[in-house]
Amino acid sequence: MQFDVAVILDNWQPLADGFARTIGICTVSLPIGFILGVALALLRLHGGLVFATFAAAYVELLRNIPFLTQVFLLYFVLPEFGLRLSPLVVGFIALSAYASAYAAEIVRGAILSVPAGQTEAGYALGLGYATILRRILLPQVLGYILPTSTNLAIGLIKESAVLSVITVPELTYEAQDIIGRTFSPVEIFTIIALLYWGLTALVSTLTKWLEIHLQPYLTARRTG
Amino acid sequence: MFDMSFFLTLLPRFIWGAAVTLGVSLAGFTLGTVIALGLLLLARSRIALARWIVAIYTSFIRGTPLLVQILVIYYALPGLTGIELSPLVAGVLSLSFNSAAFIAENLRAGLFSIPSGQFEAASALALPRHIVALKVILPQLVRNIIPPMASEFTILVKASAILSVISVVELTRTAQHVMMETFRPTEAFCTAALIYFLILFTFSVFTKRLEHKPSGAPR
Amino acid sequence: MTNLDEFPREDEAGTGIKPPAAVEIIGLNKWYGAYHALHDIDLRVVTGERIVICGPSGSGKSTLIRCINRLERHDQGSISVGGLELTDDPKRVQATRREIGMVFQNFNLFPHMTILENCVVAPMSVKKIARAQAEELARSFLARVRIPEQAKKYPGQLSGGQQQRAAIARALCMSPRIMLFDEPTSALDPEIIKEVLDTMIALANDGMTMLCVTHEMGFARQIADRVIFMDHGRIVETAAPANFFANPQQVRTRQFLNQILR
Ligand SMILES: Nc1ncnc2c1ncn2[C@@H]1O[C@H](COP(=O)(O)OP(=O)(O)OP(=O)(O)O)[C@@H](O)[C@H]1O
Ligand SMILES: [Mg+2]
Repeated sequence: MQFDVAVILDNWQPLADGFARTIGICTVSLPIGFILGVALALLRLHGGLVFATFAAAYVELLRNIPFLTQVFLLYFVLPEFGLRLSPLVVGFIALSAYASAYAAEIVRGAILSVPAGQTEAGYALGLGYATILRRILLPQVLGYILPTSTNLAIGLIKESAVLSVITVPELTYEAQDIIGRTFSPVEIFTIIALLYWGLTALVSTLTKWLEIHLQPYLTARRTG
Repeated sequence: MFDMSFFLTLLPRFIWGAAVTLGVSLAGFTLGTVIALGLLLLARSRIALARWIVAIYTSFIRGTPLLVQILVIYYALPGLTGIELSPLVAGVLSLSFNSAAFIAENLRAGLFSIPSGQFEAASALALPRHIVALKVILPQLVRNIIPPMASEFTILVKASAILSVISVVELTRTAQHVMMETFRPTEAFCTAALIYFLILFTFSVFTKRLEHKPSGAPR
Repeated sequence: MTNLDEFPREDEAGTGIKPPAAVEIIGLNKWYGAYHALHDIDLRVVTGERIVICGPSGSGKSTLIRCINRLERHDQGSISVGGLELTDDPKRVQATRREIGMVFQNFNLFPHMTILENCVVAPMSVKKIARAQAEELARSFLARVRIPEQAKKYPGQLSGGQQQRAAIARALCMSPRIMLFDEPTSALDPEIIKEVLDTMIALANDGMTMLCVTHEMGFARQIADRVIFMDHGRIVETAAPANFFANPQQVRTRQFLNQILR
C-alpha cells in the first residue's frame, strides 16, 4: 500500500472548491441560524401560549430528528408540494434550520441564566423589554454564548458533510466524486479529514483567542 | 397527502429499521464505553507518547465529520490494511470510535466532579475504605455520569442515521428503500422522522428527570 | 414620551379640593396559584408621606410594594398612583414606573455597566435626555449619596453599602415622585447599614414620598409618619411610630415586636 500524493495534487482544484463551499455554507447558515434562534428563544420565553408552544415544538422536532433524515425530508418531500429547489438551497435551508434550533436553546439558556432581579430592575426604571434585552440581558450573556456557539459552529461544519448525500458540491461530495474517478480513497479521505480537522481547530483556536482577549471585558466588568 | 393505509402496511418494516437503529447505537455505545475506559487509562499513563496519542485521537474525532470517519473506515481502511469490513461492522466500529472520545470526557468529568470534602468527611467518620467506595463515592459517581451518558446515547442514535450512507438498513435507509419502491417520499420520511422523534424525545424527557432529581432524593 | 400627567384622571372634573393620593390602594387581593398572598389591602399614601412596612417573613411585604410598580400583577381591587389607576395597558404601566423609583434588597445594579452608566441608561433611553445632561444629573445624585468618586467603577468593585447607595442614586436619576424600598439593608453587614440608612433619612427629609419595607426600627422611629404591620397577607395594624412601638394594639404585633426588639 502506498500513499500517492500526486492524486491530491492533480485534484487540488475540486478539493479547494469543495472546501470553499463548505466554509461558505457554514458561514451563511450560522448567522441566519443565530438570528432565527434569538427570535425562537424570545418566542419561547415571552411569546404567550401559542407562540411559545410553536417555538418549543419546532426546537424539539429539529433537535430530536437526525440531521440526515431532515435533509432527506426536505430534499424529497418539498418537490411533492411543488417546491423544486436546488440541492444547494435545500442544504442552506436545512443547515440554517438545524442551527436555529440549537442556537435557540443556547440563547434561551443564556437569558435564563441572568438573575430575574436584573430584568426587574430594568422594569422598575421604566425601561421596555426591548431595551432590557439589548442593554441589560444580552451584554451579560456574551461570555456564556461565545463558547457554546463555538461548539455550534464546529457542529455545523461537521454536519455540513451530510449535505453530500443530496449532491451539494461541498468538500465531502467533491472527495467522493474524485474517488469515483481515481479510485484512491486513502489519499482523498485523508486529505479531506485533515482539511475538516484544520478548519474546526482554526475555529476553536480563534474563539479561544477571542475569549482570552475579551475575558477582561466580559468578566472584569462584572466583578472587578 | 398522507396515506394512512400505506403507513400501516409498511409499519413493520419501519419498526425493524428502528430496531436496527437502536441495535447499532447500543452496540456502538457499549464498545465506545470500553474504548473510552482504555483512553482514560492511556491519558493517565506515564508515557508521554500514550498521552499524545489520546490527545490527537480525541481532537481528530471531535474535529472531523462522522460521515468522513465512516467513509474512511469503510472505504479507506481495506485499502490500507487489506481487511474488508461489512457495512454493519464498519458502521458499528465508526460509532464506537466516535463516541469513545466523547464518553471518555464524560467519564473523566464525572470522576473529578466529586469534591475532595466527600473523601475527607468519610475519613473523618472513620468509615472503612470499601464502604466509602460503595456507599459514598459510587452513588455520586453514578448520579454524575448517567445524565451525560444518556445524552451521549441520544446523540449516537441520531448519528446512526449516517450509517445509511454505507447501506446499513437502519431506519433512514428503510425510509429510502420504501420511497424507491412506492414513490411516496412524504409518507416514508415523515414516518421515519416521527419514529426518531418518539424515541429520542421520550428518552430525553426521561433523562431530564434524572438530571433534576435532587441530590438528597431517596433512591 | 408619555407622562403620567397626560392620562385623563377619574376625578379630573372634580373640585380639586382633595389632591390625588400619591398611592391609593383599595380592596387589593393577590393570589399565587391557590396561595392567597395579599388579603383585602387598603392603603392611602399622601404626597410626602413616609411609610415603613414590617412583618414576619412571607407576610406579603414584598408582594405589596411590587404590586405598586406592577412587578407583580394584582388580581382584585385597584391601585392608583398619582390618581391614575394601574391597568394592563403597557403605556400606563410604563408611565407609572417612571414616577416610581425602586431599591432592591440585593441592589440589582447592572454588573456590565459602570455606576455612571447604570445611572444614565434609563434617563437617556426613557426620557431621551442627552448624555452630557444625563451624566451631569447622575453625578449630582452620586454626590448626594456621597459616592461621587465611584462613578467610573463597576458594581463589582464597590462595597455592598456603596452599591446600595449607587442603586438609590440610579433610581433618583429618573426624578421619581415615589420611592419604594424592599429591605434595602438586609443584605448588608451591620457596620455598613448606617451609611445606607443615612442616605434614606436625607431623602426623607427632602420630602420624598417613601414606602420602605424594613426591620430597622430606629429608622422607623426617626422618619416614619406611619408604621404598617403585615401578617399572612393582611395589614394587621397601622399606627404612628410612637404609638406603634409604645402601645401596639394587636397581639400579633406585640409578639413580632418582642421578637425583633430585644
Ligand atoms: N412568585 C411567587 N410564586 C409563588 N409564591 C410566591 C411568589 N412570590 C412570593 N410568594 C409567596 O407569597 C408569600 C409572600 O411573599 P413576600 O415575598 O411578599 O413576603 P415578604 O413579606 O416580603 O417576606 P420576606 O421578609 O421573607 O421578604 C410568601 O409565602 C411567598 O412564598
Ligand atoms: Mg420580601
